[in-house]
Amino acid sequence: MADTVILRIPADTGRVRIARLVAAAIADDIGFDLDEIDDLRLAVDELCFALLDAGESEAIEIVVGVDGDTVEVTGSCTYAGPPSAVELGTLAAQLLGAVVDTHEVGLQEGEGRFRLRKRRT
Amino acid sequence: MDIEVTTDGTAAVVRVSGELDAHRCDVLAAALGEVLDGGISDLVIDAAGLAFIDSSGISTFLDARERVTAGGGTFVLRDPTPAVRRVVEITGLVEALGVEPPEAAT
Repeated sequence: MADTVILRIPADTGRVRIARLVAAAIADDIGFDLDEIDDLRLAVDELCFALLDAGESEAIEIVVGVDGDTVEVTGSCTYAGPPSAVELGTLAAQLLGAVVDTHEVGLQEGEGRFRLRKRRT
Repeated sequence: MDIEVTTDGTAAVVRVSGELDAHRCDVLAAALGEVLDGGISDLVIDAAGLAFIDSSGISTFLDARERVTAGGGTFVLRDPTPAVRRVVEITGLVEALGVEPPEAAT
């Protein structure tokens, strides 16, 4: 990614808004329209909450990268104890399938991780 | 998120503004539960000031709608903003949530 912003937020559900705002601002910077910005905000929100729902952690690290007309967002967190499954609910999965080009979320090496990509139309 | 409740007999309008996410949906669920405990049968959610909603917010609306309709009442999601309408449309819940107007203004 040519242009990257790294954000570390406390693992507090009240702070997910900050991740949404940063992703939206970066999408705006590269010319996403209002619907596309809303889509990215929603996707980041759902994926951050999926990580937080799986167990106690200290923080989520979010990396927002820009490559031409595409935004890629990754998120990761380490859990204090054994996490439950990192997964999306039915509605969240339905929304993500519609608002971003690709997404994945789950546990890898004990860490909760997600990745999404959205390209400007 | 701000919540403002107006009641008139057995009808209530709950105006929700700001951002409704998984951090805040419990607050709304509690407020709606209190409204419905008060004997309200017809519930309108005024979403004209709701700038953001996620799946947890939609679930909160669905729970309230289920309770209202189980008692023979009506549930309406009124004047959703474009961002909220898009989420409702993607999830295929325009009719279930009684969205008014059913189609976005052009």
